[in-house]
Amino acid sequence: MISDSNIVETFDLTKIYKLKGKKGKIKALDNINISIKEGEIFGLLGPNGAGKTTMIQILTTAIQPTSGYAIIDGFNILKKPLKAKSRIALMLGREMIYYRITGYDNLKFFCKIYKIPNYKEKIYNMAEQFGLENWLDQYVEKYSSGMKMKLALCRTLLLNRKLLLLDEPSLGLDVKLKKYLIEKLKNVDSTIILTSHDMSFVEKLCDRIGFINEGKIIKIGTKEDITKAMQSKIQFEISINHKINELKKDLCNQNYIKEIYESSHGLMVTIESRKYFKNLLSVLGNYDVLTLKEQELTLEDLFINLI
Amino acid sequence: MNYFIAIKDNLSQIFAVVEKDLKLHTRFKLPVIMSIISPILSFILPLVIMGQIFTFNENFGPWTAQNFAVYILTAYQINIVVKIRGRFPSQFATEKVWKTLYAIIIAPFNRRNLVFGIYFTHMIINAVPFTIFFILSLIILPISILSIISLFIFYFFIALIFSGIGLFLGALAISKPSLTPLVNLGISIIYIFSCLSYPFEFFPENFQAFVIFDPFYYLFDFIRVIWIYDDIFLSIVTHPFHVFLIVGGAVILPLIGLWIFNFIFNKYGIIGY
Repeated sequence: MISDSNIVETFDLTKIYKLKGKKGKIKALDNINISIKEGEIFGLLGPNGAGKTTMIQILTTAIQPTSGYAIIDGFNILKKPLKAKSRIALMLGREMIYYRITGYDNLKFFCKIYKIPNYKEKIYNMAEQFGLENWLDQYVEKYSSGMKMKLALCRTLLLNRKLLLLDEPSLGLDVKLKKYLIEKLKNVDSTIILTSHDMSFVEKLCDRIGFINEGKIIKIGTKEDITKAMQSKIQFEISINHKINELKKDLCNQNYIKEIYESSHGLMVTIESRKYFKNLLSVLGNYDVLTLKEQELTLEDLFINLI
Repeated sequence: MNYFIAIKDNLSQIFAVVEKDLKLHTRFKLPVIMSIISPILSFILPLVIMGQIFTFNENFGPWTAQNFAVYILTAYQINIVVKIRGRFPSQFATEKVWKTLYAIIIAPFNRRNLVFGIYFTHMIINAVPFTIFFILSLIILPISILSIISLFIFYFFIALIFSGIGLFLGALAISKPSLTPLVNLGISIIYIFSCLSYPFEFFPENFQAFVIFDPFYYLFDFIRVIWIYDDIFLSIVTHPFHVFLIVGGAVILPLIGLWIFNFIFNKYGIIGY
């Protein structure tokens, strides 16, 4: 349930790293202003080096911003870092667990430093939910990748924080596990901010998505919002019986056509805006068109178009 | 009531760190056994060689052929205690690679508890060789219960001092690893003139000046003073500067170490992983 109040707000958050030697500086984050509502699942997408991890590190107070600040559940991360930290649980893929002790000892350790009461019962309940109950007494080094990921997620959820920061939670998971993870995360009461390269995972899970590139948020909204905002590019798949080259030539002469190429399914045509759809239809009326299909923009298409 | 809950919570967190560290330490049994045997074996050779020196001179200050073994044994006890200095950077460096340090750093708990956790783990891990050396010293040169208690208190203080230094080194291991060898070199030089393994009288006169300006010398010397005098009050009265350095250092250095750790960590974060 998404509430009206913000749990995370950033104000001109900027992080500058000095490069070695006299190579200058790099802006990992550039005046980031975002707000995330309580209960929301927010996906942060961006290419490698876009600033996703820096953002997570600042929110967890592991590093300090060069300028700007963030408020987490009412606490400024610079002025009240302990209070802000007490609201957060972080999952860094399958990292942040000790491989040389057992799964149970890992969970127990983190429960204790996060002051979780009655942790023993909670650990077994959580492990049972993730099918790890028979593995709790084994050293983590014996776990498979998927099991390590499950343990890392168990650890994060056990801490029972208001805000979960998940960095690449689906990395290396098979399709079945991913589906399982989506179901689990959808039923979590906490607010979730996640970063991922897995577009379908983000698409299925997130209420809102933010695209980040070169330290700047370049687009933010629901998947539908972003798609709508990008309606200037609409792609169609056209299959015709014959005269494909003639049609191609004809379409090339239309100035509203942005892109045209042949694919295994037929002709792929991109028009600038939906308002030119009628014009396209009038051209197609002269040909024996078998199918005309509008290509739905996937998150991956949006991502590629945006960066 | 809140005060007691806070103490309980802090103790629980410290013990969590100790429990986890001990489990990690005892994951492989043979290195644990070797860590106990090695110092005991390494003690024999210096004792034999250094014992020969008394064939040239009957005594060096209060040290004679009869009690010199205590000097060597206390050197090993001190060495075990001050080794805590190296535990911080080595543990931080390992956990940096494992990325578990990140998990601890961002947890909502006071970093002071992490320091105490590492401190107690070190004490427990080294309890066996330390106790063996201590008992051997007692057999050679018995002292009163009051002196024994005093020794433990001053060992505790010395460990706190070196925890402070360790924290500083730990911060470097996380954030500025390239500086660690340089700082270690500086500390090694201070060690050389600390009279840890050789009595003050062994040093040529020209070098004794370096010893006098070496703060570690006063820390380690006081342990020997307690043992030789076997009178804690007399030891304190006759060596007030030693006591001042130890007690003052035990209070100030861990705080400074924690401050430097926080400062370096906040400025540079975890570098390298």
